[in-house]
Amino acid sequence: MKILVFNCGSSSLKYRLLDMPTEVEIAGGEAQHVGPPTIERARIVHRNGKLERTVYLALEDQAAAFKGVIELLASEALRPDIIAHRLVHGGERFTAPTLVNDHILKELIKISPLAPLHNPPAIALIEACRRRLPRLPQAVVFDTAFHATIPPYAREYALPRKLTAELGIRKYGFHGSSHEFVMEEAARFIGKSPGQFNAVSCHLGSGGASLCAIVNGKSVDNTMGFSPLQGLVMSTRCGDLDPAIVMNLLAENLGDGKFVERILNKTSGVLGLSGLSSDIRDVLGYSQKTPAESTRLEEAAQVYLWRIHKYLGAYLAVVGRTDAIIFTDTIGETVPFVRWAVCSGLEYFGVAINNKTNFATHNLPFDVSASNSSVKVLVIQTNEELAIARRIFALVRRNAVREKASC
Amino acid sequence: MLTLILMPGATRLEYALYRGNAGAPICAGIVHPYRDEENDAIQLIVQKAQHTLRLDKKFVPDAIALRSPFGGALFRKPVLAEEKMLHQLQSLVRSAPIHIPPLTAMIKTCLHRWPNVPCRIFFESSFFADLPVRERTYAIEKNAGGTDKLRRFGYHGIYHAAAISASARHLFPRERRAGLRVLSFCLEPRSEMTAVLGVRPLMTTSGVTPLEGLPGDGLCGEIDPGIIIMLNEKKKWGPERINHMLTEESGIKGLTSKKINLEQLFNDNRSNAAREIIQYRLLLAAGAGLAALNGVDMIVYSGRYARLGETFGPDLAAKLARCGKDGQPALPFYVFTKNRNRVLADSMMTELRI
Repeated sequence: MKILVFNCGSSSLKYRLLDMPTEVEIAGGEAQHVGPPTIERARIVHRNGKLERTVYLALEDQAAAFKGVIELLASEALRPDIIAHRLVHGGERFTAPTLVNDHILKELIKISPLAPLHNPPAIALIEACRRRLPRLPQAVVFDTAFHATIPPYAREYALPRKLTAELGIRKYGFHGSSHEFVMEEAARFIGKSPGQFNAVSCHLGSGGASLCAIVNGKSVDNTMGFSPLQGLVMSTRCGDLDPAIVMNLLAENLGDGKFVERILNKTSGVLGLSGLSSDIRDVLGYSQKTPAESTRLEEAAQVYLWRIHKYLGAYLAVVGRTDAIIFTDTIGETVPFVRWAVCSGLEYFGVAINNKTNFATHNLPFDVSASNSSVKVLVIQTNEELAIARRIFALVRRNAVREKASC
Repeated sequence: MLTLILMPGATRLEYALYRGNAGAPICAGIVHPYRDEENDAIQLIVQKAQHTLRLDKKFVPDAIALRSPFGGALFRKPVLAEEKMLHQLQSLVRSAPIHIPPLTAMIKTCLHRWPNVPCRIFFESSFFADLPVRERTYAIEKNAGGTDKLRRFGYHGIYHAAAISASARHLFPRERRAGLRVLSFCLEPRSEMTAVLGVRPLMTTSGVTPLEGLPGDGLCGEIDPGIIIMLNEKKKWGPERINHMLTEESGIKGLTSKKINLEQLFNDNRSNAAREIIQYRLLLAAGAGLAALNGVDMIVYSGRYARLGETFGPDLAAKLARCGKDGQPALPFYVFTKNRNRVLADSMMTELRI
């Protein structure tokens, strides 16, 4: 079965055409600069095997991007059997992969406000797909779905219950597809079944980041919460913050919530701390700066690393007997200093890193734990599109079995 | 020696009078309201003391200890109350508009009334003045108050310091006491956990205010900042409305719809769900503290609900031992039951070298 996975951003559209169950990539790429014209020309960077080409064309919205991708694939005689979409937020309504029909689409639109920046572009893409190829099945996988197993005592905030029930205020958690994928890969790597695998998964991206506590293959907590704002220090997001600071900012800015949200989401985090860059790699690689700049950058790095370190401890305590700490995504996979720094001083938990292995170059996945570490420290490449394809393939197979059984 | 303890709040003046090392106070209570009538409030206390002590002459304490939650990074230890420090306190008004004005008013009252009585101010935040930069700094832009202006403090430094000192003496020989790694839980209406190495805190759950961290009687504790933005946008609530909800209607009250405290929660069989949430938050805090210290030598409980340490302490200690390396011994814990006023009276005697 050929599954075309779309991962829709606000101005981009990543796609991969995967053959399942072999998991071989047939083609893939990214539509870039989707939306209003920018200095850089809109284009699709496409690959098919080892061949890569760039096609420049007008991509005024996701519908145009979708059309461009489908036509590119058709020009190579490639046609998907099903389209799979990644949606960031499924709310309480959607806790598993779902096939799209009219009713489901209405429900998806209803929960859009839960992720006003992320869900609407993906829903617009689904609608464009349905208009252009109405007979082609579509399905959705939600970032929040893996975290549906977070127990009530971990997902509830200490707020008035009437209010939380009215507004759906609870911890949802994010990066679920990635955490679930690397958990499965890590379990396989050490020869354990996911159902008996305990881990703390560290999805450290160049943008967003979150940790996930995993017990018996299921998410039991995630550092992000009701929104992706909570938890770790991220590229431009503040992470955990005293609520009084937020209220103070609202008061100082005449109750302008959008303005305050912009501060906390777009100009804080590593960027706000360093004043230089939102990318922790730039901050860590600081040199040839003035002493004042160096101090500020060093402090920014310390705050970033310390927050991860503390959450690691918190989740190791929650998980109890931990099989592995997993590092993934851009920073987790490619910045050995971060792995070393956040794992240092966790000997109490039985965590020790082999410095030589950690700082050497490897093909992923690899194990950087010391021989005396009772907790494996693994570096696993995330693959959200493959994770999505696996879920959809399993969904289609289950539905096929059910249909056969009912005949 | 008669030590008068005063805690000037925004609307209430709490007081207690101790004689020497005797455990219970001679008299104690609250004067409410009292602001702008500090002299009258002190007069009431004086009359009470005179009556209780059956004095023929006017009551004059031998020493006064004033307690305040916030002294910023400026006041790192107890200070002598005198005119020249009032100017320094004034510089903190913007950071603590609720706490500093009542304190300065009470200092002036005491200095005027009893100019020859030694008067010390004890700040809860002093214990946290040297919290490491990586712990005290928030990841917000400088223009929004990041780094210098807004930083994390703790708010139960007096309890933490006293409890750690007492438990170290109780559990460890002298040669082992320096450099002990301690998880110190202060269980109060606004609870707090601090990870301490020796005498230096490395991590604490409270924030710029006690609102951050562990949920309290009516206090929300840690929440997603995005929730506040959502309430502002969706419900059109302003900061005052949101603040009232987060500080008076949340925490244990929000979860149970009952006005009960932490102690009552743990004895209420109908509030299991709320209790589980609180216990989970304590576990998360303890795990973070373990990471901050790379292990722990003892766990200490203090505050008005300190005895709850005997209730959930063993379970927490067992969980923390389980996540350690194989063969991790059970973690010792200690329940410090002195109340804060007694601690202040003792501290005052130490300050005066009595």
